[in-house]
Amino acid sequence: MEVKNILECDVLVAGGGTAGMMAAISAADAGSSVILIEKANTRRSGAGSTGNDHFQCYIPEVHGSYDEFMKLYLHDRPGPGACKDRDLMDAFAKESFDVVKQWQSWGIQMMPHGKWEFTGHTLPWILGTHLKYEGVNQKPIFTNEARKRGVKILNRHPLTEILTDDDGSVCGAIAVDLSADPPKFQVIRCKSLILCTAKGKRLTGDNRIGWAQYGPESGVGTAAAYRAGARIVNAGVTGGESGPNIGVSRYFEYGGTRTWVGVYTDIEGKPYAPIGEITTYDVLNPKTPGEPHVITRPGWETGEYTQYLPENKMKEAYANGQPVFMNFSYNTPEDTEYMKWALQHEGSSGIVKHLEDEGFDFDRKMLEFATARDVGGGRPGGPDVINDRQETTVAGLYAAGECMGNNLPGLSPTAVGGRIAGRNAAKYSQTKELQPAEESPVVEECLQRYSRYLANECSTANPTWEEINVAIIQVMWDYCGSGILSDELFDVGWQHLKRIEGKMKDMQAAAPHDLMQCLAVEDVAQNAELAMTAGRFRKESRGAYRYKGYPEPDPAYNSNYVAVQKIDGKPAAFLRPHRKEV
Amino acid sequence: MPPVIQKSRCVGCMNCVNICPNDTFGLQKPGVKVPEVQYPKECKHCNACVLECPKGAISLRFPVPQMMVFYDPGRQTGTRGEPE
Repeated sequence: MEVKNILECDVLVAGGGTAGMMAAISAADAGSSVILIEKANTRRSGAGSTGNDHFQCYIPEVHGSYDEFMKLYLHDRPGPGACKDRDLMDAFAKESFDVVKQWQSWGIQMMPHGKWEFTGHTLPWILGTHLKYEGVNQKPIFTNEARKRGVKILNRHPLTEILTDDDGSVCGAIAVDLSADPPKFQVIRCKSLILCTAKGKRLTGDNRIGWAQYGPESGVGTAAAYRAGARIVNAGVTGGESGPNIGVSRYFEYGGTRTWVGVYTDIEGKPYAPIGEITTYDVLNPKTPGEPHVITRPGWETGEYTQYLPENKMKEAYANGQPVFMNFSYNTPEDTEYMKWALQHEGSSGIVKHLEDEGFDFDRKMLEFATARDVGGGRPGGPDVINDRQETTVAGLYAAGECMGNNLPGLSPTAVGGRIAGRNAAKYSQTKELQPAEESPVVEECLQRYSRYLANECSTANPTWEEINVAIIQVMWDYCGSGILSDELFDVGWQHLKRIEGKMKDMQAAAPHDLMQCLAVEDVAQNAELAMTAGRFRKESRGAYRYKGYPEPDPAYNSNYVAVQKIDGKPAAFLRPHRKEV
Repeated sequence: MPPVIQKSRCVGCMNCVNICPNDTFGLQKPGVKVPEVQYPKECKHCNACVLECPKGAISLRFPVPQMMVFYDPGRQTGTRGEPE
């Protein structure tokens, strides 16, 4: 495999989604030389490729005092696996409006109807925190802003490894250049590195039978950070721990649920929760009845709100084999048009087109929203961000966005976190000198391994990356899943995983695309080890997470994450307390 | 499977190839006029290629296992915005 000339920069950003673009832009604004490496093309890569649903933010003129906003914000915090670190929440909330204004100044329409418009995610009488905006062209705009500031963007250059020097601090990274055939090997020296890669969803695959198993999200940020010595948190947490996830459009399960305007009804079109006069309740205390509130229909301002009413009967319906439908026939024509516009800007333009192609009549037909089948298997977790500067436990290594183990979900913490990381990495880099990262023994090992994939015979004699990926997903579902867990199952699954890993050296790569996937699968395997280690450690039962012999929730996990770190060359699990107070 | 390119409209600019987040098209062979979709199963239907095509030559076809499920109750059940 050809080795390219070494590149150098102050701040290296890995991943050019929203977090990565914001990190690169803010590091460049702080005076750093910045290289951004991206697996695909920053113009359309990442979870915000063609838009996002909302931008959660604190706008003082709308929400009033900061304490009032935090009440609303904490109300909407999801359950296990979510970030519980108060310092990160505060850092995000305090800077969120600055990012709104910055994006507006770049030409992203944050006020598409002439005012701050908070829609969805809440009940009609509770002030929302999710700003509706026009995101369909955000990625080309970010790319343009980064280029204006001199950020060097290397598209089709996925990160594969983080390099550290003798004292354990970051000194560089390895990427592969997939922009031409044959692929090339690239070492980059840097003073700091910001991980902005995707969450490793590919570890557990998708849940349709034999279909669409692979998103681009290999979880390289988690795997590479672990190998570089970083502490990983929230590995092993399963989906569905907080109960059934209501409202996933069957069988297209990517689209957001909060952009739809309609009412959940049964097969006869009868709503599962009352509309008309409903009794309000306190946002933080759902059992406290408040004043009656009259709402005659779901409007574009509210979205589908009946799912938030305590008296909704949807969980019961699911349990009794009753389908649940998103019914649009209670909408005015304007509501339905607004929803189509909103879907366009959350990156779901394909859905509207698909429904039109299939002859879906929004006024008469009803779209089924099933519970998401629990994706089984542990999640991979991600690097632990240890303070409000977005630092990890490895000096010079920062993380932002979905790759964090303790990330705040959603677009806006991703954007704000990237911006904070960029600023702080730039400052840190001023204190450092470039090191000869290429001298790390990891470089030679990687070069040999990647070259072998390219040299392996492409025939039925050798496994494809897909075989390995499917095999790992099977292990996750059957031995680290949402069924019953036990020491015995973990021990069997672990040995099988190790045998699968033994087959990886024979993977074949006929084209640059295959090399990308072989390297991605290495990370999937690494993340499987982390999830299994965390799972075997966490002996409790909670929601869909059930461990043999431990039928109750362990209160330790109300105030701690499971952490995994490399100790004596192997993953070891322990507790890491939540940071409640700043 | 996912991107469907209308050959008569395609001008071979390769925007779709370059921007696809999942490398669904793959690296194209030299001299190719209309991009070949080499890894159709990796399409995640994000619509980026549709949005980026300057000639409107691309449409997405949802794979049959991902067709959305809907039901026709045979009548309009709601009130179209009027109070009950």
